[in-house]
Amino acid sequence: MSLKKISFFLNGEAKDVYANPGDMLVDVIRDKLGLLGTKVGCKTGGCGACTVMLDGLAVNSCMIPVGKVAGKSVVTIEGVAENNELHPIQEAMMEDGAVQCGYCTPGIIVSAKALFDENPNPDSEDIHRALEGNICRCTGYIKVEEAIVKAASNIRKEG
Amino acid sequence: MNDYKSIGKRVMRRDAREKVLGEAKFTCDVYLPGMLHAKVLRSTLPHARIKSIDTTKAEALPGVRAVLTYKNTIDTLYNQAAALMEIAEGQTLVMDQKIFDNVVRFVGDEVAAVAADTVEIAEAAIKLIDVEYEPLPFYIDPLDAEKQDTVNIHADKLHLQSAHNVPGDPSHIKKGDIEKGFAESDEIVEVKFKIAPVKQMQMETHSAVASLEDDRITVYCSTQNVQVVRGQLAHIFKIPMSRITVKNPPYVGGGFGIRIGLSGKAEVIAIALALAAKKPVKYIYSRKEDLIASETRHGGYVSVRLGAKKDGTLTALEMKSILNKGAYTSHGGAIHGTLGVMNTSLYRIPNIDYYGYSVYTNTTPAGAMRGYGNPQGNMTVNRAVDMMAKRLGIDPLEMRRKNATGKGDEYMLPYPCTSSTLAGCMELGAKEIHWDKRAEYNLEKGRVRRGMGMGIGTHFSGGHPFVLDYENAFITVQADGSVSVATAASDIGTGCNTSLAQIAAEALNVPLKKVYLTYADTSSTPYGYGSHSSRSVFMHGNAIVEAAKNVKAQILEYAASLAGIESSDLEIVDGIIRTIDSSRRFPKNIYARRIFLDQEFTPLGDEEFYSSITFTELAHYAHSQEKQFMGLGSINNTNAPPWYCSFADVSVDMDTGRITLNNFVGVHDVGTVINPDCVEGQINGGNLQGIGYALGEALTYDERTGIQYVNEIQQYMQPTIMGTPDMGAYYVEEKEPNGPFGAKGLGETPCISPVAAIVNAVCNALDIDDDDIKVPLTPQVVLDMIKKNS
Amino acid sequence: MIQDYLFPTSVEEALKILVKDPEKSKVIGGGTSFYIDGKELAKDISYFIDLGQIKELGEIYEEDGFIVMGANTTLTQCSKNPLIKENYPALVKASANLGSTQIRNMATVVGNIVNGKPFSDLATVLMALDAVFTIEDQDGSRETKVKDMYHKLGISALKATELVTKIKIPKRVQGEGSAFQRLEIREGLSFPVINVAAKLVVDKNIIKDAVVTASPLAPGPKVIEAIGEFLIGKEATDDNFVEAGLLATKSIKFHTSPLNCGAIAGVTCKFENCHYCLNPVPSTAQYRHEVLPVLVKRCLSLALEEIND
Repeated sequence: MSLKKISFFLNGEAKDVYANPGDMLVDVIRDKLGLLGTKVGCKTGGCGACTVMLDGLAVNSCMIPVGKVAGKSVVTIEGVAENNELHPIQEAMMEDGAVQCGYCTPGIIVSAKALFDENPNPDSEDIHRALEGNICRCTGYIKVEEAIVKAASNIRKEG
Repeated sequence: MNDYKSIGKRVMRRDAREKVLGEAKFTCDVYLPGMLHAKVLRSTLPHARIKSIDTTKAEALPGVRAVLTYKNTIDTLYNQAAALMEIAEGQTLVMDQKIFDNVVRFVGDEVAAVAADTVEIAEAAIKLIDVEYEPLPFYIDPLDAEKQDTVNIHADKLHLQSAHNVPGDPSHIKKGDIEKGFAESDEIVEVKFKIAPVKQMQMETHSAVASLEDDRITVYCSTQNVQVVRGQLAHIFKIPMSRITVKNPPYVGGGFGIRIGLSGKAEVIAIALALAAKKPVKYIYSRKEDLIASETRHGGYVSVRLGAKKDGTLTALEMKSILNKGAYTSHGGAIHGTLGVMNTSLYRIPNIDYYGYSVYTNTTPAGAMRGYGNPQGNMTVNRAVDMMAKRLGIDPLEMRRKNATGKGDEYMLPYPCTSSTLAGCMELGAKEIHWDKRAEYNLEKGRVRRGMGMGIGTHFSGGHPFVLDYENAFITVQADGSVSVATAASDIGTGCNTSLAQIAAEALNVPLKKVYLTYADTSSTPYGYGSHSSRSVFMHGNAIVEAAKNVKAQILEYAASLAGIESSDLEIVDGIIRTIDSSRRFPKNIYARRIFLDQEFTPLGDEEFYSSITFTELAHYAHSQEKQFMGLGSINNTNAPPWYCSFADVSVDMDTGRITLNNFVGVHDVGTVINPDCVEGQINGGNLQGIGYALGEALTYDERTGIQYVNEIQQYMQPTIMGTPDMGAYYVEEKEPNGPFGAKGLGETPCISPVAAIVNAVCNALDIDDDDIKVPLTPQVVLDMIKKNS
Repeated sequence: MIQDYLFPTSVEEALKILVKDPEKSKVIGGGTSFYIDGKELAKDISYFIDLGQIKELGEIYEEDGFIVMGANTTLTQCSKNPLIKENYPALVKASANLGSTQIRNMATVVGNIVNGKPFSDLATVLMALDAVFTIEDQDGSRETKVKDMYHKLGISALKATELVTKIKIPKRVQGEGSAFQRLEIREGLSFPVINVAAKLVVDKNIIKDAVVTASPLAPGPKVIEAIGEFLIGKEATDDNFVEAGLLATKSIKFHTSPLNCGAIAGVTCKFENCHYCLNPVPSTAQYRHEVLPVLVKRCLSLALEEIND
C-alpha cells in the first residue's frame, strides 16, 4: 500500500489527503473525507449518482483516480449551497416535488449546477444533454426538468 | 371537492430539504465504530454441486475477520419474500433458500462471504477461496425446465412442488362455462406474448449494516418492510423477535418491489458475519451483484383467447401463463395468481378460464416488482381486446367503454368494486392524447407510421386477502401538544410519510407542522407490513385514522371532564379544542404551566374561564396530572381496487423498426388525492418504467453458459431523460368508501398498462394483427414484426 | 498495486517515464474507459502516467491543410470547438452524442480509439474523414491511419512505449460534407447497435469523393469500398444513395451479439473474436445488415445537406 499526499480544493477549501492515487475520487470523498452526499450507484459511470464538478465540469467521481485531481477544484453536493443559502435548483427541486427516493438527487443537482454555471439560459436540448448521464428511476424526469426550467428562470431574475 | 386543511394540498415533502442538501442518510452512509466490510463469492456456474471448498488461504490473509460458507453457517430454510411469514391459510409455504447451500442454482448464487477490515482486503480474500464444482444440467427457459426428463432444481423439496420444477400451487380461476362462451361468440382472437424478465433498477442497491450488543442484533437496511424482516431474521437465526431491531437509516433509495422482505441476502450475510466476527459488518451489493443476483420481474409466456359477439359484447376469456421463476421461489405462487385475477377482472366477461404457474429455472430468482405479475397479463388481455375491436370494426376506446368493469360489478377479485372513475379516466385520457386524431394518423402510409393505443387496468391497495395484511398505528400526544405518529411504513421514495402525516393532521384536525411521523424502525413502531402492494397510504393511512379517532376520543373526554361537559360538546379546530356552546368553559388554572414557549397558547386575560384550550395546554396540563394521550389504531380485512388507463401515441420508423413516443398519458383513479405532487410523481415515474419495459429493458442469458449478459448498468436500457417523451399525469377523483379520506392504492399502478398501450399503438401504426408478440419491442423485434406481416 | 501517479509536463518527459516500465505503466487520458472495464487490469499497474498537464496536447489548431487536435482534447472540447464545427459536422455529431456529459467531459477523442473498442463512434467518423494519428516514442514519431490503429479485437496497435500525441484531419474542401448516424436502443448513454459515417465531396451535383464507414465490425471500423467505387462520378441523388446502401450490405459482414464472453463473468475476456466485446448491445447480424442500407442512405443524404448549407 503506497499512500501519497494529494492536495486539491474541495468545496473551496484546500485539502490534503493521504490515499493511493489509484483510489477512486468517490471513495476518497466518502470514506476519507466523510462527505456522504455523493452516492455510489454503479461504479462504472453509468448512473451519475456520484456526479461532482471537477474544475467546473460535471464528471463521474467513480471513474476518476484521485491522483488526477491533484491541484484541481472539486465541488460536491455539500458545496452547492453557499453560506447556508440553497442554490435555486435545490429550492426548485424541493418546491416542485422533484425529489423522490433521493438517491440520484445529489448527482442531478450537481449536473444541473454545472449546466447553469456554463449556461444560465438552457433550452430543453441543453437540459436533456446535461442530465443524460443521471439515471433516475422514480420521477420519470418530468418534475426534475420542470424544476430545472424554474431554477433557470429564477437565476436569470436574480442575475 | 372538500374543505380539508391538509388532504389534497401540495405539501412539500418533509424529506426534500435533507435530500437536496445531500444530507439524507441511506444504509451506505451508516458507519459504525470498528465496522468491517463484507464481500461475497458467487457461483460462476448456473447449476452445480460444491465438491470441495477451501477457505484457508482467505482466512490467513491479514485483516480478514470471518469467512463463511455452507459448512459453518446456520442452515435454516427460509424464503426471502415477505411471504415467508405472511401467507394466508390454505396456501403452500415454499421455503427453499439457505444463506449458503452446497448446491448453486444460478450464476451469481452465494457461495461464501468474507468480512474484513477494508473492502479491498475482503475482495482479495474472496479470490483466495478455492471451490471445486460438479456441474449439473441447467435450464434457462421455463418451457425446457418443466419437461419431465429434466433434473429437479430443488429435488429435496418435491413435496412443495405441484408439478415438475413447479414450486407451490398453480392458479386456476374459473367462471361460467368457457366452451359455451366461445360457442356463443361470433369472433375469436388469440394472441401470445413472450415477455423478457426486467429489473427494478432502484438506484440504491441492496444494503445492510448489522451490529451486535450482547444478545441483541440491530440491522440498518434497505428493506421495504422492517417488521416482516424482523420476523424472518428471528426465524433464520433462531433469536427472539424482541431482541432484533430492524430499521431504515431512515432513507431507502427506491424499492419497486425488490425488497419486500429481506434485501436479497444483505441482511442475512451482514448478520451472519457480524455474529462470526463479533463486530459490526456492512454489506452493500455492487451494481453487478444487483443485476445478476437480486430479484427480477418474472419473464415468461402469456397467451389469451378471447371471444365476442358482433356488437362487441365479450363472451369468453381463456388465459394461460407460464412464468420463469428463476432459481428460488421467493414470491412464487402469488405472482401468477395476481396475473390471473387482475386481468380476468378488467372486463365484464361471463365465461372465464385462467391457468397459470411458475417454473424453476437456473436463472436469477424472480421476485416482486412494481405491478406484481399484473403487467404480464395486462398487456396480453388488452392486446386481445384491441385485436377484437379491429376485427369487429369497433374503436378500441368504444370497446372498453362498453366492456370495462365498473363500480358494483361482479368480478374475480376477492374484494368488492367499491369505487371506480375508470370511465372518466378514459374520457380524460382520450382527450389529452387527442384520440380523435387516431384515424387521421392511420392514413399516413409513408416510411414513418403513426398510431395510438390504450390499455386499462386495476390492482389492489394492499395484500388482503392474498397474503396476511393488517396494519397498526400508534399516536402519542406529547407533553407539549405535538403529535408523534408511529407506523412501520418505509418511505422508499413515494412520499408516503408526508402523505401519512397529512392524513394524521387531518384526522386529528391539527396543523400539519405539529405532526411528526416515525421512520420505519421495529423498536418504535407497532407491527405492520410496510411499503408494498400499493398499500402504504391505504393501510397505514387507515390505521392512522383509527388511531387518531382513538386519541381524539381520549382528548375530548379529558377536556370535557375539565369543563364539566360531554365530549360531544367539544370540537377540535386547527389544534384548538373549543366548546361548541361558547358559554361552556375551561377553568383558568389548567392554563397555568407554560414551559414550552414556542408552542401555541391561549391569550389569557382577566377572565376565570375560557371557551378553548390548545393541544399544548391540554397535553401539558394532563402531563402535570400524570396522564398522556395515546391512541392505537388497527385495520384489517380490507382492500379496494384502483383503476387506471394509459394512452400512447407512437411513430414507427419502418426502415429501422425504431419506435418514437410522441406523447404518453396516464390517468388514474386513486380515490382521494392526498398529495398531488406525490401522486403525479408516482404516475410519471411508473409510466416511464412501463415505457422502458415496452421499449428496451430486458435481461438476457447465454444459453450455453447460463451467464447473464446484462451485468453493468450501461447495458440495461432503462430510459434516460433523453428518451423520455412528453408525459401527462392525470387523475379523476372519487372517494373510496374503505380508504383513509377516500384514498386508495397508487404505488404500482402507473407501470402496469403502459406496455399494453404501446404494443397496441405500434400494432395500430403498422395496421397488423400480430398474434405472437415479443416484449420489449426493440427496433429489431419491430422490424421483424413489419417483415412478418408485410 | 499503484506505486505512483505521475503528471509529466512534456511529451518527452512522458515518454521517458513510459519507457522505464512500459508493461506496468498505464497512460491516462480521460481515464473513463479504463475505469469501466479496467479495474481488474489496474492490479497489475504500477504507474499511472496522466497526460493532463502536457499543455501542447491540449490544443486544436490549423496547420498545412489539416486541423490538428492534441491528444488531450476531450469529447466536450471537440464538439464545441469552432474549427471542428466549421470542418466536420460528423465529428461534432459523434463527439456530442457519445456517453453522457460526465463522460464527455473526461473522455478524450484519442482514448476512444486507443481503447480498442470495436464500436467506437469516433473511429468510425475519423476513418471516414481520413484522419492521421501521430504516434511518438523515444526514437521518434510515425503517422498512421485509423485502420492501422487496431491490432486485434479489443486491443489497439499502439505499442507499450508509444503515445498518440495528436490527430490530424484534412481540412474540409469545397463541396465537402460529412454526417454520422448511430442506431441505439435507448436515447442517451448507450452503446450503438450500429454506426455509420459518411464523407461526401460534390461538385455541381456530381460526386467527386465518397467515403462511407461502419462499425462494429472488429477490430476497427471499415470503409465500405464498394460505395465509393459506385458513387464517384455519379449524381448526388436519393436513388444513387439508396443504391449505395444496398451495395453496402453485400460488402461487409456483421456479427450477431452478444454471443460469448469471459468478461461478463467478471474476468478479462480471453476469446479471440468475442462478439460480446465486439458489441454488448444485443442484435443479430441479420438486423444489422437490414438497417445498414437505411443508415448509409440517411448518412449520405445528411452529408449532402451539410454541403448545401
